[in-house]
Amino acid sequence: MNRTEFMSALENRLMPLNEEDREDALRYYDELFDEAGPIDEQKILNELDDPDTIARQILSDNGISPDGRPEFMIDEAVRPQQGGQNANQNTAQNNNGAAPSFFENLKNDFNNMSQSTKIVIIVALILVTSPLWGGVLGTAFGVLMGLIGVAIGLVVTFTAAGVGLTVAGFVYLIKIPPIGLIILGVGLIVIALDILLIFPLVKWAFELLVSLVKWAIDTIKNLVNKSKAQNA
Amino acid sequence: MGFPISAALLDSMVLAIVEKEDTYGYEITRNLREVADVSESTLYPVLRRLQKNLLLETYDREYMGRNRRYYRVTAKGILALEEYKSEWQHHKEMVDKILDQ
Repeated sequence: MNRTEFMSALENRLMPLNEEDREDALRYYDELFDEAGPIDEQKILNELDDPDTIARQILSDNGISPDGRPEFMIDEAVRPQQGGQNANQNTAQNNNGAAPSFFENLKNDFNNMSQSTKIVIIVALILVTSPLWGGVLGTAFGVLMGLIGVAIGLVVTFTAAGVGLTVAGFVYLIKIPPIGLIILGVGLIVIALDILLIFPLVKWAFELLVSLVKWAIDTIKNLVNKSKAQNA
Repeated sequence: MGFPISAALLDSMVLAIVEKEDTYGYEITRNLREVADVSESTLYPVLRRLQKNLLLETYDREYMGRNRRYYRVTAKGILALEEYKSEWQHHKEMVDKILDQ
């Protein structure tokens, strides 16, 4: 086979193509021969595949199915178009605002993890963020303790004052009876107020304690149930 | 050598050769054949595809009494080449992770 035979064989097999594509291909191979020059004509012919194979590749690249199944080209020729369609679909999704948000992605990623990975992540999160909520929790605990301290202080003061005044009243009752009576009376009033104060305080503290314990138990129960449900 | 050259790799090598300097088909093939076992007839479909996807464009320039068809990388082609390069870098690192053990 020489150059002329090669070119006419190629042209015959490229007839199904439109003129522009055919001219472009023929021109390319014609130029290869020109570049190689007449001396290397045979060398180029040896390097090239036969016109039939070349034509099959070009035809399938242009969406024309030659007889038989072209191996190299079909999926290579289709690939760029598919990529383009996918890209368009993605853009459309973004335009619709239907694309998953960052947090949704994060949530999906998290849900896809194994149980042990989840636990490790949760523990790590708790440890890492502990300075943050540790401070808040500490402050809340301090305020609570302070309130309890104030309450205890009030009770102690009232009790001491009441008892002291009552005792002093008895003492003054002997020395100066009218003043003793007044002091005794004031002391008894203070003791009465003290008792009125103690009952709601004790009741309030007890209720607080009960609800705290209840909350802790419920939280633990929920966690256990959740992990059971996920394992099932 | 048993590593086949994928279409994507061929595309990126052709883009890289043309990006360095506008050149013509025969020269591109010679460049490629220095590093890879690419047959002469594999290249035309690659060039045509790159051209149709607007990554390459052509112009004719006279040479020794005939026209030589030169290829030039478009702006879109340069972007595609950058993407290919970083993908190749990533691919190479992944393979080396295993091979360099």
